[in-house]
Amino acid sequence: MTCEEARSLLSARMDGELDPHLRAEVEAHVKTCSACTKDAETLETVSMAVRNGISRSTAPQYLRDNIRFALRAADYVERRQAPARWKQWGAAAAAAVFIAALGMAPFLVNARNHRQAVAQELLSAHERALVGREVDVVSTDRHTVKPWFNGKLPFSPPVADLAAQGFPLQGGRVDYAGGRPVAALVYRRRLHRIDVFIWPAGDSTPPARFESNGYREISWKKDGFTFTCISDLNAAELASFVRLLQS
Amino acid sequence: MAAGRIHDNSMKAGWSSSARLEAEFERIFLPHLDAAWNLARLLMRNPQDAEDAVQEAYLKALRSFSGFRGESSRSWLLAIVRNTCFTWMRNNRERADQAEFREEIHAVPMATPETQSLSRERSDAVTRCIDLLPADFREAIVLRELEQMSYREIAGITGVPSGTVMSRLARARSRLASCLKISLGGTGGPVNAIAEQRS
Repeated sequence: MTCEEARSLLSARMDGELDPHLRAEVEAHVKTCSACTKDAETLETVSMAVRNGISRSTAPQYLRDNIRFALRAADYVERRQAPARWKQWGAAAAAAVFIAALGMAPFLVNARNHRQAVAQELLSAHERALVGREVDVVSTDRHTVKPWFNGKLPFSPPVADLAAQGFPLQGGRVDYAGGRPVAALVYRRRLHRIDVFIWPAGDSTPPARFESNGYREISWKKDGFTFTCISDLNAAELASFVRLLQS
Repeated sequence: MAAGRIHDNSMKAGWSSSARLEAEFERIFLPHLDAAWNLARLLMRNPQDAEDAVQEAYLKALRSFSGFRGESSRSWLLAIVRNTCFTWMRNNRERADQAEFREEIHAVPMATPETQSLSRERSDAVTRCIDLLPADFREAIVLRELEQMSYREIAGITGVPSGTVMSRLARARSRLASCLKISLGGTGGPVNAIAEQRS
């Protein structure tokens, strides 16, 4: 074995990754070659220096929390893939669902169209506000923002303070979607704006989940209100935000 | 093995098992968060980007959980983490390789003896030298020296043959050797000086 060949294998030799045959050859060479012996020592030193000096750290607690939240809220953000489970329901169940769906089809289609239309309108409202007026009342204090809606809306939207969780409130405005005035609360995460639209739920279904041009739109019902939040924030952080509002 | 079995059972239970599936996922993969975090942080050289990448990777992993067959959960997760990081770095090459990197170098000042202990100084030098490696090399070094993985495991995660892992590590170490000499300065064999100071 030449010096060149041996030298290229010294690193793998140190890692114990050479097969026995090759290893024996390298050992035989190193024994007789002082340059390679020195190189091998240098490699050991480098490896030790890296092991001791490489910066290792524990993941920040909030990252752990965020991920936990996001995983649990994943249902709200990700449309879960269902085919495998569908199959397990069996043909009979599928047929029953199909027959039921036929009867309900006109209603379902209408309801779906309506939910999508509202979702689309809210997204437009969000985009409009990006280029124009973001907030009518500028305040990070929910005790300023909440009373501001009095008299402007026929309802009083719940306003959550999530500054401590990294979603500071920026203010609010009155917007219009689905044929009614809605409250829009504006939160911020770094440079991302999050709009939360709130209006009385009645017995309507929340708008459809929506993803378009990097925006995500998530809706739910809680305490008699429908909530829709829209942002270009990443899925994981948006999910934690939704989770916080829902808790 | 056990993980795979439990997972299969919960799949059979149908829709209602979604929460259980997520709990199972958490139980298997959350313990690897520190490994995921360190890999992302050292690959991306920026903690903010690393946080985003790790979060995204966990959600991706949850989505692909049905493809997990109870093999090494750490390797399985780290493969997703590194793919997420590399995708991000590819999409933001300009920012990652230039602006942020320079910023990062400047942010870690050369150590002054008065203010920093020797071990801190050495650790900074190692960090700086690892940061200077190409991403492929950096990844191999982190998986080998920090996670102490075998060439086969590293090959599995990075999607290259073991021979490539071997040559990447060899070249990375040779670059580290010369980089550590430069940044630590001193006379004679500065790399050896690290070892002497340490012992």
